[in-house]
Amino acid sequence: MADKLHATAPIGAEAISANGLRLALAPLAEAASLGAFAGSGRAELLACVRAEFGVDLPQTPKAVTTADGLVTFLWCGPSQWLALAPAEASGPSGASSGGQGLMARLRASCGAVCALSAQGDSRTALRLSGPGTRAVLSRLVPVDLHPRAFRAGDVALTLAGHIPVIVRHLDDQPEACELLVFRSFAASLFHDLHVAMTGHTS
Amino acid sequence: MSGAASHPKAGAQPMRVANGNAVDTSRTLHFTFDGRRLSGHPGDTLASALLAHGIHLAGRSFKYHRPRGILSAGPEEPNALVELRDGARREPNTRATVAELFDGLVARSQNRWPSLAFDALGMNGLLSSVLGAGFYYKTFMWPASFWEKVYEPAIRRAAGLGRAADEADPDHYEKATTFCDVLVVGSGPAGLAAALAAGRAGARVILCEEDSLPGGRLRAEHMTLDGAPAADWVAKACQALAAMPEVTVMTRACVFGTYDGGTYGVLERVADHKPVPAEGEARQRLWRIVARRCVVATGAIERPVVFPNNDRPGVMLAGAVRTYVNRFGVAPGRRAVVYTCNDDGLRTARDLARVGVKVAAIVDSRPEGTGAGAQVARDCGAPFFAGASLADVYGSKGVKSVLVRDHAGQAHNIACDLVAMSGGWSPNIALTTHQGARPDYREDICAFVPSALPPGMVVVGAAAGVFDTAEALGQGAQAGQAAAALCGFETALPDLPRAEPASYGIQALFHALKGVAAAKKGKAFVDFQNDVTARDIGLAAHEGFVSVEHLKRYTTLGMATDQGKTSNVNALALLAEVSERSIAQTGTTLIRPPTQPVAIGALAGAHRGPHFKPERLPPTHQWAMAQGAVFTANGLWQRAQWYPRAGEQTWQETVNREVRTVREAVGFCDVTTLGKIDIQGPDAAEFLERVYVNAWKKLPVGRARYGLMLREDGFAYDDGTTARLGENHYVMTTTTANAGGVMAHLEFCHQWLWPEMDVQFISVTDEWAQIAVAGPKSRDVLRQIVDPEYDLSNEAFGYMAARSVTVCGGQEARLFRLSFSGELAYELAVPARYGAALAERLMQMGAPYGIAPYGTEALGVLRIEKGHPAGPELNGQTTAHDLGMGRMLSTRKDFIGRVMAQRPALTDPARPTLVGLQPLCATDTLAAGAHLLPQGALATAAADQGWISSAAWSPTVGSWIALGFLANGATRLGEVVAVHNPLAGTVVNARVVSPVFVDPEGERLHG
Amino acid sequence: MRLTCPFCGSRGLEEFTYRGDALVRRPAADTSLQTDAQAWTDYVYLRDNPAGLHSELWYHGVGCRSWLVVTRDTRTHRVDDVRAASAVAAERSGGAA
Repeated sequence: MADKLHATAPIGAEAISANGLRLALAPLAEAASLGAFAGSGRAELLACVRAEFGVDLPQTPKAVTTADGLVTFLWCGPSQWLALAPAEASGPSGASSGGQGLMARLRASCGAVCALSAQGDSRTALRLSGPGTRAVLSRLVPVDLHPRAFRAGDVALTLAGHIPVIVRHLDDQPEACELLVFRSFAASLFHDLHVAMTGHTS
Repeated sequence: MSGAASHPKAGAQPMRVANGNAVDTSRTLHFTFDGRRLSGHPGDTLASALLAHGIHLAGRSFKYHRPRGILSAGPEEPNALVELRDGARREPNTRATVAELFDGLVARSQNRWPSLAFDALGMNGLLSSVLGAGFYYKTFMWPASFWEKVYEPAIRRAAGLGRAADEADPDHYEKATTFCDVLVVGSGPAGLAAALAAGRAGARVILCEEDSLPGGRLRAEHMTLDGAPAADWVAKACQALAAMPEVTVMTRACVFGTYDGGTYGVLERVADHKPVPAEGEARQRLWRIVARRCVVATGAIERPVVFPNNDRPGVMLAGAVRTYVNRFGVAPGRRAVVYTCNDDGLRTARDLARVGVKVAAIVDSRPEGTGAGAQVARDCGAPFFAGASLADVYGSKGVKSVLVRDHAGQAHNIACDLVAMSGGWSPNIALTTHQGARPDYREDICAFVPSALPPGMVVVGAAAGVFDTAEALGQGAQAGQAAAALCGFETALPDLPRAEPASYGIQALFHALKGVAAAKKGKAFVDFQNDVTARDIGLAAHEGFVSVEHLKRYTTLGMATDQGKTSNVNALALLAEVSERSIAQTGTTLIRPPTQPVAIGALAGAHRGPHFKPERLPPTHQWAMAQGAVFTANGLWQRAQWYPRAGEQTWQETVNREVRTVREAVGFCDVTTLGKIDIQGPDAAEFLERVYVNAWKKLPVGRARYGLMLREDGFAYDDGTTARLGENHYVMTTTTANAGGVMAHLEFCHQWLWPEMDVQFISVTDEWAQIAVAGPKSRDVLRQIVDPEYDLSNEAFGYMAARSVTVCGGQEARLFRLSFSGELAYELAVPARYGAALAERLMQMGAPYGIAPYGTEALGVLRIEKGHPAGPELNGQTTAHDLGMGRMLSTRKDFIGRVMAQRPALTDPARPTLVGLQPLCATDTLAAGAHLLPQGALATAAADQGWISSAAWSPTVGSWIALGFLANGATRLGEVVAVHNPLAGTVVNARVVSPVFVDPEGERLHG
Repeated sequence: MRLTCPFCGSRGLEEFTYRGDALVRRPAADTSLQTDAQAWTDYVYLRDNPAGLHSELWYHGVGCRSWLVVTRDTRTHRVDDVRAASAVAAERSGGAA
């Protein structure tokens, strides 16, 4: 039998640094969407996730990360969440093996009470960090990013320029945000962020 | 290096008479105006630097090409519009009064030919009888053919303003959004006090100042706060604001518009004051500021007085004269006449006298004994005329003298080179009226003040008609405090400085004419920028244009870059007078954003050129680039259109080869762009029943089915295949174009129509790299890719089968036996990160079978050959019946579009229905958009029987083929129709055939 | 214009798409052209266009994908109320959200 297929990164560009800021891919080993079924499904889903992962699914636009740091759940709409398993948090084997774990755990723990769908290749995570992250993002993202309004763990489903994104505030020391974007838009978003960082149009 | 050595002829500045509070005279900057080398200092505007050289003449007027000078010292300037910079950065219609001086600035006057001093079109003034109000409408009516050839070129040369750059703008523009609790607009006394009060409360405050320096009139007036120059307090206030972490002071930032929901448009001129922006710096930044509360402290704009020849260079606004003296240390003249109707204007005489300018006369329109004129005149040693007016101004390119008519009607000719006029101050209320509020007229201050305000807004200081500094400070502080408190931030008021009291004592003075319409001798200008005179207003009123909105359109009053900031109120007053109404009854025109010109570049921001819109790239994009593919845009998607090979001369040759490869061997194509929606839930099957016309409940797990969706009006909306992956799990495909729309539609049906249904949707378009593998050898190739435990035989995995498989040694994948080409075909989906590798693997494993990638062009040919409808057929005007799918409509269930699709007109057999067309002559071309007519019929709408929706050269058939819609199409197979293509001017005879040109029995498909 | 999504908070217009009148009701599944053509015509084609308060459907398509019922004054763009369409629909049909 033939060799296994190799993975290709969603964008060709390397990480870039400019003006004290860094923009880089934050590869996902795996991701999955959770859509709670109606009726008792919602409460059951909350309970199942709590039992398996030890966290409460957020009911507002926020993210919670499991104690072991392996999985983050993002609110994604009423009764909808996105579970993310970053490649770097998944152990030394990274993308190739870490990924299999999340979906399997979700299927086993809450497959009966919610719609599960693989999203690890649907979404690309770009991480912008460094002093001035908010100022750079304000050139693309039309939501209030001020520290009083958008704190670590806060999530916004919105636009970056013309591109739909999920923005997650990671930290204030140093400032860091993650943008989840549909893979097909990743190159354009990377370019737009680059322009916002450097002021170069081309 | 710049400096005196490189500018040997840079002139001295004879009119620089004092130390202005904003000018650093220790450094010298050099610039040119119309090629003349001049100098100025940091802090100067182009206008102040010109005036420092005694230069008033800055441009020619729009219509009459009259010499014009500098009227104002701010953004309201109607006259002194210049071109700045050279080459790609050349910018026309820039106000000299706000253009900050920098070393090496190149400025040119506009609208003059051949030179500013001698303008050949100045004779337009002699033609003024034909250029009066409404001249566009009256003069150029006919003959029509003259418009393009004669009138328009002449008008464009004569009128119009500066020249835009011929090259693309090399600078970068930014857009940004920010939020605050309290937005303060303007940094005069009221604005600074408001920002201090709100800032110390801890609110998030943004203070926007249009000018390069904060302070407003505090910099323009000779006045003290707490006994020290007012500019000192401004500096202290700014220090205090800078120490507040949640306060942002933005200078060079003009709030140009108030929008719904507390949204404000702001243009920040980041680098307009530099020769070129710094590395990585934006030239301008367009801010959208969303503010919970807004304190408008935009001050007031002084009004000119309408009198004959009031547009002579050297006739200026009195407050502007004080600005030049106090802020810039420049005397705009040597002998001045001050003409006023209020005490504020009188300050001008004192300020001029203080710097040694001779005050030749003070002309006060108010009667003897009113106001402080007599005292000021005594102090300045100036003749005083109470109850008097200016009857004329002499001198063409500068003022030589004025004619004063005293209270008894006696005329006095007084020599002077400067006229400082004040008709009183109009609160700058534009931001308060952008949402449609009409302001109120206050007789006591002869000005319009804000009425109803947009939610969250308050107005303070001069903008609210409060002209006293102490009062403005107090009002500003209270407004700032209250605004912060409404956002949850409470604090005590800040300490405010003591201000000197000042009287105003205005009495209405809009014009000094005997009558509005009677002004015959000498032009008395109302709107300098648009060359609208008092006579024009009289004429317009006489002709019936007595509504202000009509007056504006008819005379062009208040249009162009200054939007009538200095002219609107005077115009209303004149119109009120001629139409014998009060000013309040006459009303104002509606003010719309922007308050200041905003460059298109700033509105576009970074979204220009190839980045005007984002691109979506399918997973094989990089791979296709490496193959040398040619790309096409499919909405936002970039898709490979074809893959040329060495030796192929034309794209047609390439596409023909790709089509033949699919028909004869095997090809593959990235079809990731088709929308894919994952649908799960106990009610998923029932939900599909309701959104598709056909039945779904009996579709077994592991099978796919073609589905058609209608709109509720019964017309076809979208189509695609949906596969059942599990008992309650489906994956739907949509057309590329409607992927987003179908998602919104499903959500709408679920959330609004049938909220009781238990079903969930999520887009998986980007999750899966989906590759169509098509052709008689496709199974052979997939046999090499799909892991051996999966049986791909026709018996085990027949047409429309769908299942999860693994490929290439365990990689999870989905395999569908779908065909868009009519060949034996599959769609193989792998997680998107493996898409490019799958393409490589297909090339490698398919090589022995002659595999080749094909692009969207071949895809199109293949589906036309097979008669599959696509976007051109599902164009929103066709029905299931038209598409030949009428029998798909289930009669046993409800679905979107069910009822309206049954309307007789939508199923009328005479409607054009889908047919195939083939030219009788194989070399004849068919084109989409061509009309179908009976042979021999005249090409009239009445004879029209349909159209061609898709056409292509078919290498399989060996001729052009087309899909189209033909009236009674189903019954006309074999008939010959005329294909009329008015664009190409051709008529081709074509035979009506089945839309399925290839394998009508479906043997290949099922093989 | 800004709308306050009940889930995402205050957002600019660019995140939303407009559908229109939220007062029209899809006729019952068992009606047909024969039984009630007028109801279908009303539903598909006829819309009120009031100058004043209007109940409208908006879609937070680039946000949480919720359909919303917005009560808006068409003259001033003042927004008095924004609710999840699913909740309004559930109330309408007498069920729970």
